[in-house]
Order: sequence, then structure tokens, then C-alpha cells
Amino acid sequence: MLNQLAGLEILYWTVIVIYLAFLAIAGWLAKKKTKTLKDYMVAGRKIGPLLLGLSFGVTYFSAVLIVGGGQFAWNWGLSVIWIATIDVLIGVFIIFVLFGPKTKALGEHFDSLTVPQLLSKRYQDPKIQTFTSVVILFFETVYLVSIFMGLSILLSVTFPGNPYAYIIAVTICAVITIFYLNVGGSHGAIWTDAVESVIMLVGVSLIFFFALYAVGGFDSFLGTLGDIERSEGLKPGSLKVFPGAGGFGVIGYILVTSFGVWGMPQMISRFYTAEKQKSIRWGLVIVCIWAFIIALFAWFNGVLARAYFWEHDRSTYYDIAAAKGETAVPMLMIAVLPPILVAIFLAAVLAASLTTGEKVILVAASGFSIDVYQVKTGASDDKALHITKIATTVLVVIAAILALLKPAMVLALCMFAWSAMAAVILIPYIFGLVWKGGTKKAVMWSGAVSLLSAILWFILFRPDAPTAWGVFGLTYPKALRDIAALRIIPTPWFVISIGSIHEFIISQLIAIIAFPVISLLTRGSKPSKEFLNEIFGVMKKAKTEE
Amino acid sequence: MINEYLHWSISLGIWVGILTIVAAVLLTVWKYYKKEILNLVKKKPKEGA
Repeated sequence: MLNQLAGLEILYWTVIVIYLAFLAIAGWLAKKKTKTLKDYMVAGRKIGPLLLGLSFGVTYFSAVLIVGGGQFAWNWGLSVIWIATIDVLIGVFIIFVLFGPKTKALGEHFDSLTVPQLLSKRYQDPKIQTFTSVVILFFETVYLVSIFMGLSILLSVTFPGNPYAYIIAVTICAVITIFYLNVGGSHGAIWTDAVESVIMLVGVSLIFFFALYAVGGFDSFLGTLGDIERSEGLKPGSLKVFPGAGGFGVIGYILVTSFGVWGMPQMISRFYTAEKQKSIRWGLVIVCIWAFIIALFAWFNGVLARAYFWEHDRSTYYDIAAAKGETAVPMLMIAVLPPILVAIFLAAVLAASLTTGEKVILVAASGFSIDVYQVKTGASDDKALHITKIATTVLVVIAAILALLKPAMVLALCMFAWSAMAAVILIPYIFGLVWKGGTKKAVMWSGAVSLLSAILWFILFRPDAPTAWGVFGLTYPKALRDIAALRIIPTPWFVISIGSIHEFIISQLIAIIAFPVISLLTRGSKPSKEFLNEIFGVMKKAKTEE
Repeated sequence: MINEYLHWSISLGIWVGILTIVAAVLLTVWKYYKKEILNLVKKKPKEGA
């Protein structure tokens, strides 16, 4: 048994090392194409539809979906299918059709390499660049820590009894990422994204088909879910209908993961890399198909895990249930796939974390080097490129150390990073593309108010609030706990309590009201009419461009 | 068929996703091959008409 375990460990590590070596080589090969700051940041704006689509998909769906998504699916049942669907509809289709072409046209027109640059040029105020980039720098670093930490669950399941697996994996990931980003930049990242996307697709589909076969097909799968509902005293059908066991949680999660994409700098900046407008349209077709298959199967897998272990291994079932479903998909993967496929998929998930991480680091590092350093000192592009590379190294080291130390505050903040970035970017970005009335003061004030509301909502009412209070040695007051539990809309299907409303929803609602209102109140700080006509002309032209 | 197995709310979820993909394909094809499609559909006007 021990020999068998050791043999498996060797197999897993061999495949992981081969895969990571491939990433390093890809980075090295991309070096030839990476000469200027523009090459480094936006791949010289020369990416075609296939690579654009796949790169968008891989940046959107990483290990967080495969491992973390499985956890929600375990608890919420088949209603999670709707998360896959709406993510593709809102997070992919709508952003590609409505905002992608305009983003590319404006990015090119302003020659901007980062999202803060685009916003500051659109609203004609350099302060916006500093403000948004500081928020991005801070929260992207936190997000990077969460990506590294996502690996810890996966590795603890695949390497049981090896307490060093996580430390080794984070160290290897950090070293490869530093090497990779110092030589390859965006070019390297996009090429490995393409390979990554294929392995992820194959891996997730294989788990799905193997698991479905193991539970005896759809009929038997649904029958088992019915058994679980009866045995565990759940409402009949709650694992099989929408919103079912998930209640308002599913709806909140759908909104965060779909609309959230509109405010993520690493997603928006994918459009900067497109070679032509045509690349975006055909990229849409590719990413829609890829994303729907992968999201559908990834969510299904979590539910399949519940049925599989209920039928085949009740003690593991209770172990996973005790961990609130956290280990559902990694356990299912080991249970149903042959070892060599587990090894390949493990490497792919590890690399999925890396590829998402790379873009996050690029965005965070450029937030410092281009949006703050270059603006303040007027440094040349070459100097900014040099500083970007140093900043990426420093950030990876900080993130790796934080991921290894796992301080409670960072854990709590990880959940919050998306909402915080979207609070300052989403509304000014979308309004900036469709409405001439937005002003620079509205960007700053609505961003600040929205960010503040997200922070307050998070520390006052959300389930992670006690952790946040605990970090400062404070006890979460009972009065706040009572308010959080207050039910505001009791419907026959589910209840909405104050604490179940995600801070993303609150902060975006505030931003969507604050931005136009402040804009109307500060009409004087609007960019000139000529400038607005010019940029809206550029965007209109992009729409008709063949 | 999947409809026989899953409750309507779940199968509807899958259908919305599939229709999104179909819409993406149709929109893109229409945008770039509009002329060709119209030429195929329309009969060419007779000479001298």
C-alpha cells in the first residue's frame, strides 16, 4: 500500500514537473516576440480569435471553478447549472458583443496598456489612474494569494500524508512564475493558455463521463440525489431544482461571477491584445463553446461527487460533508480516473492557477510601474518595462509568503477582492463606453463610496465578518449577528436575509445610482464636447469595422 | 433526451446556455457573411427587368 502510494506520488510529481518545464520553455520561446513594453503587456496587440477566446476562458475559469465550484455544487445540487449558463451569457457573450469591440478601439486610440490608463484617458484625469491602480495593486495581490491557496486543498487530497507538498508546490509555482514573467510577458501567457484550455477541457469532461458511468447514468444519478434528500431531511427536489438547496445564495453567486467579470482588469485587458475587431467576434464563438462545456461539466462534477460517494463510499461521503464539500471534486477525480489521467489533470489544475495568476500579477505589477511610477516620473517605456519585471518578482514573492503563512486576514480578504476591484472599475468602465455624461469627479466619488459600502457591508453583516473582527482582537457583536440574520424577503421558495446579500450586489447598486447622479451634479468636470464626439466616433467606427 | 431526466428548471438552464452559443455563432456569421447569405437567399433579378 505504501509502495503504491509512493509510486503514485512519483508519477504525479513527474507529470507536474514536465508540465511546468513546458511552461518555462514556452516563456523562453516567447522572449523573441517580447521586445517592447507593448509586447510585454498586450502581446503587441497581435492576438487572433482562437488564442483570444481561449485566453479569455482560461483567465475566467481557473482552479477556483474546478475545485471551489465543486464545493458549491456539492451543497447546492443541480441548481448550479444556472451559474454555468449565466456566466456564459453575461460574463462572456454580453461583454464580447457589447463592450469588447469598443474596449479594443478605445485602448488602441489612447494607446493604453492598462485599465486604469483607459479610465484616466477616457475621463481626462490622471488622478483616476493612481486611485484605481492602488486599489488594483492591493486587491490583485490578495487575489493571487487566494489562487495559490486554492492549490492547498487539491494537494492535501492528492498527496495525503505529505505535509510538504503544499510548500514545494507553492515554491515551484512562484519560481516558474517569476522566470516566466521576466522573459515572456503576455506572449508567453497566451500560448500556454491555449494548451491549458485543451487539457482543462479534456480533464473536466473525463471526470464527468467517468463519474456519470460510475453512478449508473442520469436516471440512477437523479434517483441517488432523491435518496440523499430523503435521508438527510432536505425538501424533496431541493438538489434537483432551481434555486433548491442553494436558495438566494445561488442567485447571489450567479450575479457576482457573471457581472463581476465586467469589472476585472485582467479580463477587460484581454480585449487590448486582439489583433482586429474580427478576432473579438470569432473569439466569442470559441470562448462561448469552450466556457459552456467546461463550466457545465465542472459544476456537474460537484453534484456527481455527492451521488458517487453516497453510493460507493459512505465514510468518504461523511468526510467530505464535514469539510462542507471542499474536497468533493479532488476526491472524485482520484476515485474515478486512472492514475495517469489524475496526474495530467492535477498538473493542468496547478497550471490553471499559474496562468490566471500570471495575468493577475501582470495587472498588479503594471498598476505600480505604468500607472504610478511612469506617471509620476515620466520614465521611458524601457525603464517602465524593467520596473514592471522587478515589480512582478516582488509581488510573487510577497504572495507566495502570504500563501504559505495563511494569515486569517488575507483569507477573509480573498473573498472580498473581486467586489473591491469591481467597485471602482465596473460602473465607470461600462458608463464610459455607452454614456457621454460621465465626469471625472463621478469616477472618483462613486468609486470611493462604492468601495466603502462594500467594505462596510463585508465587516458588518457577511458570514466572514467575525473573522475580520477577530483579526483586530474584537468580538463580532451579537446585535450585528441578529441584523445579519434578519429575513427581508420570505418567499415560498427561499428566504433572503441581510447577511446573505453579497457585498458585490450592494456596492454595485450604490455605484449604479451614485455615478450618474454625481455626474449630473458635476457637469462642469465633463471632458470637452469635441473630445467626447471624437472617442464616441472611434467606438462607433469599431462597431461597423469588418 | 436530457429533458426526460432533469427537472424543467435545470434543463431550461442548459438550454439557455446552448442558445447563447447558437446566438454567438449566428451573430458572427451574419456580421461577416451578410452579403453572401443575402445573395444566396435572394433570387437574382432577371436581365432587362
